[in-house]
Amino acid sequence: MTRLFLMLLTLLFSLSGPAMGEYSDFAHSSFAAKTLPNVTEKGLARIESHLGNLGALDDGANQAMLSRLRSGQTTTPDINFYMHELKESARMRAGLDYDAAHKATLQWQGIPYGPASPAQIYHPDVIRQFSTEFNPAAWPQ
Amino acid sequence: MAAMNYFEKWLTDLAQRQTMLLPKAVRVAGVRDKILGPRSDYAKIDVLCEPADSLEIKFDLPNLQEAQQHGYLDWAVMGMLDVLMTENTYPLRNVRLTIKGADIDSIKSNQMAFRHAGRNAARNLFEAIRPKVIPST
Repeated sequence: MTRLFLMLLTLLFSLSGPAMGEYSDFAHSSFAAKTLPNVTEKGLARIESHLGNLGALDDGANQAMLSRLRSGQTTTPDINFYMHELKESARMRAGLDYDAAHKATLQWQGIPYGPASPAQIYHPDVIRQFSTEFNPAAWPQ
Repeated sequence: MAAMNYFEKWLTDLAQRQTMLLPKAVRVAGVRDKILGPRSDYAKIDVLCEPADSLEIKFDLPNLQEAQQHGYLDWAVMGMLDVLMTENTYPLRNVRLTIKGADIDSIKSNQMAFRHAGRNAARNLFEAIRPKVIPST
């Protein structure tokens, strides 16, 4: 019985650890969605590297979100942005293409994939500032 | 000494300078398809560009209502003008632009994506009319 339990535990960690990408700065897998992660410079540097690889680091809205995180903002969209980019980056390093990594990360965050999904990942002030670069369905009311 | 208002001077110059001439009608596509991290951009337009006596803009596409709902066509035209007015020595102002198609992604499309698609279409127009060197046989 103990052996079976250990095997199941090993299987669980093999799925949620390296395969999903490991982060040193916030809790693993689904716990991360429920606990407030520490926003660290290491995490932000990883996000910048990920956005740079996608050719999206100089995007104004992304820069504004990074700036908010560096200034200590921790509203839900700020944390969603941080978590989304870290998790998406880990999934792409594990071999997923962008589209699969993006959609799986949204699902992990409980955010439906659709025209309004950026409204949960970018702060409303940032969407207002760069409204022409967002689908109108994501514009704040 | 009063500082020159360079922005006003630049605008006046752009509006008054002689136009370059479009030698023939050309149909071009313009595309914006870019991943931006937590979101993506997508827009595509199909434009017929013809010589004219002044700037004329026409919309002739099956999904006109959908494309106009959020001003996407206006943004596409502005994107074309961004390039038509500044890319070459003389602005290309005497041209009839008929937007014949607009491909809208319900999730990824936005106004700026259409502006980028317009810029891409204008660059493709200049590429299409650029004199080509014919290799000698």
